[in-house]
Amino acid sequence: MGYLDSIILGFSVCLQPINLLYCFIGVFVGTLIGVLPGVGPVATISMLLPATFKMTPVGAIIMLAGIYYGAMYGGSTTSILVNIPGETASVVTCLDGYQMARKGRAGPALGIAAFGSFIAGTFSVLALTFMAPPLATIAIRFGPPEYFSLMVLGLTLLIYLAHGSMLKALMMSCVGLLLSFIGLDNMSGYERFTYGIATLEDGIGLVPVAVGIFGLGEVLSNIEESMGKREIFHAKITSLLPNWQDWKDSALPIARGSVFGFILGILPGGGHVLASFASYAIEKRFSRHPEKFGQGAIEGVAGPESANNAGAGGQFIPLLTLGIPASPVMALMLGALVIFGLQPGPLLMTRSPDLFWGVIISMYIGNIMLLVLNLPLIGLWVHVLRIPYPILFPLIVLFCLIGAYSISNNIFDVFITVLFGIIGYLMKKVRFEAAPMLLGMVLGLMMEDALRQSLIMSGGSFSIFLNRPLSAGFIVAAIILLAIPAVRGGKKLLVDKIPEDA
Amino acid sequence: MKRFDKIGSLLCLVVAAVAIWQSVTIPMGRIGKPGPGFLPFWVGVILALLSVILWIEASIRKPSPDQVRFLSGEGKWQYVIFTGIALLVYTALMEILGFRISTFLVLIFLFWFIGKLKWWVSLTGALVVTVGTHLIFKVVLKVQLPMGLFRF
Repeated sequence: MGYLDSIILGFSVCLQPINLLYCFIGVFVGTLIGVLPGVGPVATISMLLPATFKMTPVGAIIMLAGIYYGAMYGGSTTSILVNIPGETASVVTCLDGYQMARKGRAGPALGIAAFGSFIAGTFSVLALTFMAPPLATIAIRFGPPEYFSLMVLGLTLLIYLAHGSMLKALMMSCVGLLLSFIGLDNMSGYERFTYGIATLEDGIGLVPVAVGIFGLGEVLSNIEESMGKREIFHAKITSLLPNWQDWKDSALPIARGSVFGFILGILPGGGHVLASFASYAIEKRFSRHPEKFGQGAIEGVAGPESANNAGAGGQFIPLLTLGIPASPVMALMLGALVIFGLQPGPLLMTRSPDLFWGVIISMYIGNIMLLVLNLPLIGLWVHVLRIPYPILFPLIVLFCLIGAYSISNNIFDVFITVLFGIIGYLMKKVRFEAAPMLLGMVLGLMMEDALRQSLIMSGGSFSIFLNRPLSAGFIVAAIILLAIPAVRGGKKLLVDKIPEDA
Repeated sequence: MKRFDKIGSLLCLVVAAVAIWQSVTIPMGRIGKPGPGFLPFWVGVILALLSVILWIEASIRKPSPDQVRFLSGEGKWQYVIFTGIALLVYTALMEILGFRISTFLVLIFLFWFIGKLKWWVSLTGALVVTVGTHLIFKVVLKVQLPMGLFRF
């Protein structure tokens, strides 16, 4: 099937009214939770996962994807107007966005954030459209040894790119792996760490853990800190359109943000958060007047806001071509695909082309919808920001718990959610990152299966991982990454400013 | 940070110890043909090693000025504990009292006690949200919610 046929197929799927509606709901909810500080895409997608069970697989994935990239748009609004990041990916937008707002330029800041997001979002979907099929053809030839080595490399990258201490990230991914081993062993049917608790036989679900850490944990820390009191910028937003000078200043940052963001998005552990931070650092270095950064430089808004959207698009590459999630959000998407009986990976493109292309093409349409939602309708989101936190947090808590319960109608999952909410709060306090743990949880069983299958193939010899060129390449790359903690200089710059809960 | 890294490393060490101790009881297999206990055991060993490294590293590190405020006077940490307990109680009550009653009660607690809203706002809010979520989840989305012993 040529590109043109595929793209036409994609459009024919996502222009169906019901799928357009799902796309709209997705980006609308995404913007909403992006604007609200303290609810992120991970928590929202986990909460809404059960609600998608009655939809078609295409509709469900279109909607969930919309929530993800929609949140990237919404986050900037809060950063610019309130100086609180609506989303972790918008933390750096606060630095210059809020300063612009204080100087009466809230409009252009919001405008350039939305336009930059749109341009970068579209760029990343284009890149996704043209890169995913060739990559999937390569990935079809992967056997268990390649998968195992690739996952080792993925976890290593995740740890390498960790915001804080590499050691702690490594520990957290070990804890995640251990959590994934709970339950029946796939190959031998042996019960591991179940202590006779029947519901533990299926293992601990990803959704309760994700909702707990990213939803409840966030609420608990907001309760401690000032109950989320915030001051909204009361200036009148006059014109949202950036002027000619703004465009000239922003063109290159947007272009660089799109490209770097996309590349970082593909890497595990990179994703949208790292993309925005890296972009800010890059723009500051490239700038002819770095002293203006932090005082309302429009480049400091345009670059990061483009980068986080491009990063969000890049994240779909490993999921759709390899079936390996590169971040907690993608782990949930993988979970959703599996629930619908679809195996994400290189065969997805040939086995369910309607889903593959429908979802990709829906992102073009979603980005257009988001531009409309975020420019003319900006007033709506400003009102949303005025909802006081004491009213908001019980609702978030309730939605988290209902979401966790309804995934399998099991009260035990609610208990796990509350437990991991408390654990997540504590982890946030002592700066242990949650993302490596969640990915460890997802990759644990996949890695174990790949390891055992490889060893069966080789008759018990570990040399199989080094005899096959691709697999050997991944392993060598992982070893290099762990052995030489180089490029420390650039990383040190970012460490202090990056929040814990990516 | 120093002290909390030490506590964190000790907690991880406990997790690792439990994992190692428990996976010894599971068939281990051998190097070329790992059994179900193989990876849990070795991941446990690695975690234990890393925890020890972190503990040592945190002990010799100079104390940094960036101290985590944690269960200290500032902030409202008591409310975090209250909320945590309330949610655990809510989880336990849901199967007995049913979704609607227990949700109503926990919402009043959260709005009024934690959120410090006026009592009548809390009461109306809890009522509206309980009825609202019941309509959305039970009626529209047809999600099963616990009925409780009173079938209400």
